Amino acid sequence: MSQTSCVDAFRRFLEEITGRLRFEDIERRFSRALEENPVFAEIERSGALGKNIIVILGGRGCGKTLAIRYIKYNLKKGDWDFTYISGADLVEKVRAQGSRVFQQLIEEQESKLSQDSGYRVVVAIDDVAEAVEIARDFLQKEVELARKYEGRLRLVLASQSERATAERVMTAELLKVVLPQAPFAEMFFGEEPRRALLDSFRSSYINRKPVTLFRGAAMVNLDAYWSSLRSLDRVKDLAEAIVKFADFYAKNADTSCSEAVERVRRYKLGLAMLALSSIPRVVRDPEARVVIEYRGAEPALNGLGIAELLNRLFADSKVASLADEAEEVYSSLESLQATVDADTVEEVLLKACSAVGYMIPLRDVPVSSIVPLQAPSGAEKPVAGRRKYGPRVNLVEVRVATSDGREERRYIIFHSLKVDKRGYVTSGSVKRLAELVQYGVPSEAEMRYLVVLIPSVKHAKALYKALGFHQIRRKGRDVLPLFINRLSSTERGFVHIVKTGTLSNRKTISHELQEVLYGIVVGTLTLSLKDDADQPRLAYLMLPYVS
Amino acid sequence: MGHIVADPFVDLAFVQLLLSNEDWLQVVKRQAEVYTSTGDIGESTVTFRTYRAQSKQHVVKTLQRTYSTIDRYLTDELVNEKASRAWKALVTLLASLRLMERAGVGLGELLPEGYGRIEELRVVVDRVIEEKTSRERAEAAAVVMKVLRGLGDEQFLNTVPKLWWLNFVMESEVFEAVFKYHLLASKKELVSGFVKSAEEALSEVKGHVSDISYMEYEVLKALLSRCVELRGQYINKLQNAIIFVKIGRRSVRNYEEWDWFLRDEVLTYFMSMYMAELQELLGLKEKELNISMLLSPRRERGGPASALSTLILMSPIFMQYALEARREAIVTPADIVVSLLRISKAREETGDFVVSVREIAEEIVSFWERRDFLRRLKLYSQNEVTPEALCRKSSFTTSLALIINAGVGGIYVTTERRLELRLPPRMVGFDSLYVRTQQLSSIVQRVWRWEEG
Repeated sequence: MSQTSCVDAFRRFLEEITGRLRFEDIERRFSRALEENPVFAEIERSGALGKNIIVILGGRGCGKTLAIRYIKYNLKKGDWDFTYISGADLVEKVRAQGSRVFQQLIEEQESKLSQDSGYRVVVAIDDVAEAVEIARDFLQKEVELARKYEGRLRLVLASQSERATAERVMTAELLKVVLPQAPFAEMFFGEEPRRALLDSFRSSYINRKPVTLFRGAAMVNLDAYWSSLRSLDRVKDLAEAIVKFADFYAKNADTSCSEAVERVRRYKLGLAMLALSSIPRVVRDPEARVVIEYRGAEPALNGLGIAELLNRLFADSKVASLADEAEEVYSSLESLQATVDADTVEEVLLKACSAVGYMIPLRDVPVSSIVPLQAPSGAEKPVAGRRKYGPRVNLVEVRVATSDGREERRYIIFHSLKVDKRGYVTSGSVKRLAELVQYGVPSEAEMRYLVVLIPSVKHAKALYKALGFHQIRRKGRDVLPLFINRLSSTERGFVHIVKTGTLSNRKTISHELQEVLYGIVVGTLTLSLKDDADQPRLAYLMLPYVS
Repeated sequence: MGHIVADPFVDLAFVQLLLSNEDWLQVVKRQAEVYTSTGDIGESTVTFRTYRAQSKQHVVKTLQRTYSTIDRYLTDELVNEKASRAWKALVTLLASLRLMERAGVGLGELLPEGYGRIEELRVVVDRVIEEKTSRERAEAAAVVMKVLRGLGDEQFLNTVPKLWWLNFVMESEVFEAVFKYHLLASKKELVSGFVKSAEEALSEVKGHVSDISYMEYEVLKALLSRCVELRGQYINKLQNAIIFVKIGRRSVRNYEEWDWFLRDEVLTYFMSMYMAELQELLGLKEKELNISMLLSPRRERGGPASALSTLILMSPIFMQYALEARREAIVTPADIVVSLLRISKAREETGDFVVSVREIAEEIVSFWERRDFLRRLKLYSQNEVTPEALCRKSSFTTSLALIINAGVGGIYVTTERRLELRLPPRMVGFDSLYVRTQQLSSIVQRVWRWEEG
């Protein structure tokens, strides 16, 4: 087999860019066809580059530094000078020379700006989160400068979404405190800077909106670009994006290699499916959960993840055959007109959990094994006729490590509302739901969550019937309704295939692919299982924390 | 058996068990969060039932050497009640912390910065119990003083507000009686009238040296004895029951004496007055002064009502803490609620109205004046109390922010003339409040009428 040197060069390039790169390296390696990168095309289209302050956020490996590179490239055309400051270097320098460093930087910028009224400069500060603690005043001063020399100083701040110290998420700190409290913050971020910044950061991933424009600033959440592709309904778009990325990488490699791009194009749908099996993570912020793409031990769905995936495609022939098989699954989805009920979804979720290391599915366990039914000296008398061990339930035990090193254990208990032939929720399943609540199965403080799978919104009434007036306030807290009919037909077909384990032509799915499909269930499908407030509550519970 | 019911060390032993288990503590912390948003205090949780089931054994084991008959007197009923109180006390204690963290204000001002450090409390509780059980016949006040004196300045200030609160909830009947006393003694004419006529009557006797102040002291002491129904027992018994509140102070020089407690007390007196005033304003005929009753879960609009009741009941603690830490009188959430209700009543407003910050401050000062707060505050604080000074205080905006962020509803900031103050956490400028009377009074009513709905 003649694997030509051009493919080798392409692979070498991919390997080189998957390591941690300094800005200079990135600048050297990526110099061509920057506007063809689909992420940058999206940023360009949004108009974010016209704003005075641009905040770039994202998990590890989503291309923040590359985005700065792009901004430099893009604005260079309009005669902008460019200053790059790395947060980590800044910390080093301050440690060596003291806070004089900040003063020098500010004076330097200011003297040039005030001397020449035609002078324009982009000040890009990378990895701001590293330096938030020591550079607070400096950052606020920069904001002030951005106002003073409006239109001539463009401030770009890039920060790792998950960067956290022992007790605080530093990026949240940047958005909560440093920027909103900077002078003239409201001129950039609107009347309520703190809320505006935090809200758009939190919701951008779930709402799949990568760019938010404020009055005089823009926030680019690169993860949200990827989350917009993290959906079984957009496999084709993701496939196209993968090809575009391959093309982009190829053009920037030493020798442009169309052969490699062709190979990627051949497997694009399968690769997209493989990419969807990665699992996003949750940043542990006391006020809310923020979902991000994150390259931990497992690959992620982002620029880095895709580079790694492409590399594997060339390194391991198994990946190609797996991609082929995955493509087969995908193409059979389109023709499949499956209807799924709540039970099927429950079954698939339980199956998929076993594939992820930190979750253990437990089937048909008596409630008493997680909730002691009667305390030894409890005042309540046992009610006659109740089963000794309580009703039996299916549940998932989730064990995740928290930031302070403890293990957090939560239980997700499933209950599916069954529908009879005429389309009404059976009274049996309503009664059972009420019984579970009575037994104290859902308990927020003890981290037991009751996930109620409801066929459609019109069946939501049954939930109210089961909980009653006094318990209904638990909805959205420890009783989480999820509506099955929100799933698209592709997603329903997918659930069907995962459940049966066979394709429509009776072909069984290989073990490796099964794992991939389970990954898709946890990492991608859960994000489509939403409650009445359009929140993917199950995903919040099932996704691991950033470690 | 009486001594077991109102013994501070028994109370602490119940708390100690709950503090000793890290997993339980995590549940309590999350429950505090739930409590402020739905009002559920979590007595149906497995954790609570397990704790309650184990508590008797723990208390008996811990204190058996000191109280040899404790096993016999610790009835199931008493154990259930005390366990439930310890649980409630800890949940609400942390709820106030959560409210402050959520609003992003208050810590370091109304409560100490290190209020959330439960480990410190655990250490102190362990030490008190160890001190009590290590010696025979250790006197309660001496034990507590020894431990408190051993604390560093910061640790002392971090811990005492928590001890006060635990004491309040665990011994709520005794405190109910103390509040009753304050209510009675605050009726100045009643007491001074009697004192004067008694002295006059005595002056008929040859050689009697008239001493109004001493007579007043003895009368007040008698009233206190009557209210707590000492029935001939030594007053030290009362001191033991309320020991952390009575002697956990640094602003008071001679803590063992009763004089200051009878005449110049702040913490329990304010608690009593806030509760009485609010219930009066709501038009309730009989006053409920039992704190642990007030912490019972509410059904309708449970979250905001629970949050508000936490803030109101904690208000005297905020005040006392500020006096201890900074010798400063502050504006508490209860002051704001009281003054808003008073203003709406005085103006006979039933709909919505706007009131300036200045007017609220004036109302607070007149409330303080009338209820004899001012005189007492002056004894312990350095700063001057005027309406101008009050509305400039950061504690004013802090308290307001806490109320608004608790989701109470019915109170909104607005600007009439010009921005004078800024409301944290978003620093919205304002100079007046827009109040919706109906909404506000209905939520305040939920604080007292927990059983309905």
